[in-house]
Amino acid sequence: MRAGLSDAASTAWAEIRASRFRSLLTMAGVVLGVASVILLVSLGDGAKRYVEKKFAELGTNVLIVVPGHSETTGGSMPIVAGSEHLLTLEDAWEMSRRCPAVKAVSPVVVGNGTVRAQGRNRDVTVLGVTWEFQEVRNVRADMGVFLPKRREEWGRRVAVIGRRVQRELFAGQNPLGRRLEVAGVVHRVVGVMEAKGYSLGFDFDDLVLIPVKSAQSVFNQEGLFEVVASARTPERLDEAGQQIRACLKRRHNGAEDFTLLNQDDMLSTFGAILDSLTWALGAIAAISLLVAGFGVMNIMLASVGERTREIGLRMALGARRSQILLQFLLEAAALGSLGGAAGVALGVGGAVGLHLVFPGMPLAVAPWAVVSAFSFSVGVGLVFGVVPARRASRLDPIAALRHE
Amino acid sequence: MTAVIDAKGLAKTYDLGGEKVEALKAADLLVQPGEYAAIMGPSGSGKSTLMNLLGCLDTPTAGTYRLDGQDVSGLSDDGLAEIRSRKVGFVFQTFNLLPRFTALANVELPLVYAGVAPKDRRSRAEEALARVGLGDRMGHRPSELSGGQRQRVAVARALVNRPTLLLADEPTGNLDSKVGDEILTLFESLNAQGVTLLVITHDAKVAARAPRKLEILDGRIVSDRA
Ligand SMILES: Nc1ncnc2c1ncn2[C@@H]1O[C@H](COP(=O)(O)OP(=O)(O)O)[C@@H](O)[C@H]1O
Ligand SMILES: [Mg+2]
Repeated sequence: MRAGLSDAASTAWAEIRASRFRSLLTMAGVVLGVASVILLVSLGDGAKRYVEKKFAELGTNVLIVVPGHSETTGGSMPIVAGSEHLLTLEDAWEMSRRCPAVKAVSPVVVGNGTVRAQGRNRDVTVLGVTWEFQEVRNVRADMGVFLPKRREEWGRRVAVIGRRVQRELFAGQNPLGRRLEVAGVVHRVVGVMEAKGYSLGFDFDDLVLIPVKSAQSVFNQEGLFEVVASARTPERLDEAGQQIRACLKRRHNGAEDFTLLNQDDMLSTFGAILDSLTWALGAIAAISLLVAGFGVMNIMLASVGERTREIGLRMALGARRSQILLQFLLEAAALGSLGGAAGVALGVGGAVGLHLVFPGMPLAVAPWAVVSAFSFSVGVGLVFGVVPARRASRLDPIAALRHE
Repeated sequence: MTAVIDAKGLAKTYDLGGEKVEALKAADLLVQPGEYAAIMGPSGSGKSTLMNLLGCLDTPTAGTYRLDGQDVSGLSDDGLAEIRSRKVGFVFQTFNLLPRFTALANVELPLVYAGVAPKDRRSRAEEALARVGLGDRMGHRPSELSGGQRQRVAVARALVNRPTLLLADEPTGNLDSKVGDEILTLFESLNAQGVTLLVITHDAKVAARAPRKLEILDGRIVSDRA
């Protein structure tokens, strides 16, 4: 075959290099399109991984019981829906006694209030829990002790505080034995939690834990926010769930007015939401790539117009129509792939840069996004190069040579 | 000996929405290898139309044409492209160089379409540029060359595929007379080396240098003198 693909490619390449500015202009849209696909998908994917990681921190053997049934309330994360749906301390107690596959159970009451010590105030989240909370949620007091163990002591006015609370209220001094007002009610600090940071929406370092009954009276709450429990082993999670379900239904006169959640449930629910978020972000960016394709077509069309004489000349010099077609098609495809490559570099570079500047930002460059954004940009170049290339190849050589 | 050009009753009529323009009327022309002929005529007389037909850039509406013994009348677009590539070299009034490419790259262009292997192109283009006296300007772009030098690059480009027929349409039209003379001298030296040469011009002085002069008026060849 005379003057085949490689010649058309080198001709196209020579043209791209010879008119660098126009080429760069043409590619700019593709570069930005590809970079934004990669960045947005990375963000979406990163968010998903972040959430997955956070849920994974929950532990594979943890179960959460929340009041209300998801089907009756309609939401995916049911919240308290009425007095007959309350979860009580008695429920939690029975769960711990009657479910052999359950290792530890802690009722949880959540309140927001001002805590006060040594003349300093801080607004924090207060959790009312029990001794077994540390077992379920894997928190430890590394100074002092945790909340009291026995059921009779669930109403004692003692507190375990987070690192940050200690720093802010006690200026780093030993807080053990000191007074701490929780929403106006005096408690005594018995322990400080080890640094743990965020877990499932709570900053454990900025938290105050008090016994559950104390919290109920301080915040005037009858029911529980939730009950957290752990199975004896991850393998017995389902068994533990069944036992809890049976136990609670019996206590609630056969009504399943609560919802049991485990890590897998939450992962799949949030995973699906975040997957669709990633897809939506990717699609938005892909549309910008498509728009960039029209840009490529426009500039290529203008370029064919400008280069009409050149095309006529090439024909006079022996170029067949198919060779002209191939040259322009390859030019468009090359612009697409160069733009794509630059976009990949920009997108990945941007992601890495963002990660360096904001280390906490969840970002994960997804290889599939890189590959598909790049292929898409090559495809965009090719597809949108067809119209200009056909126009170029169909020119009448004489008219083209006369063109001014 | 096979004639380079053997045209009989060659005609071109343009149809402009009902109105017919007879740009060329039944031209007969026989040109032997190694000849040097000038085609002279006023503007609009049909010179370029004739050249386009002889160079296989265009197809006639009537008549037959054999180029170097080959009947080109029924050829497809691709067939014509191949003839142009192998047998014809064009030189235009406006040079028609690609502005963003070096002289060397411009001269290599016809070799690409002739399917010459990339490794041979450079040496052949260098050789052609040396032949027109531009051996020291190969890396220059057209904008860095004078008008005469540009036309020399165009001549080198027309020569590089060793065509049977060299067609020049007003090759000195954009050059002052001294530089135009140099280009004509170059053509004549090439003709002396055996290249068949057809120079189209409206300038009697240019035509006077050719051993054979044809005159064209209103699309008709009206005289053919040696
Ligand atoms: N594509 C075309 N369509 C219509 N008329 C044309 C076309 N090309 C040339 N002509 C006409 O044919 C005649 C000859 O033109 P041309 O061969 O370019 O003359 P010359 O080169 O001698 O100046 C002119 O009248 C011109 O207007
Ligand atoms: Mg003319």
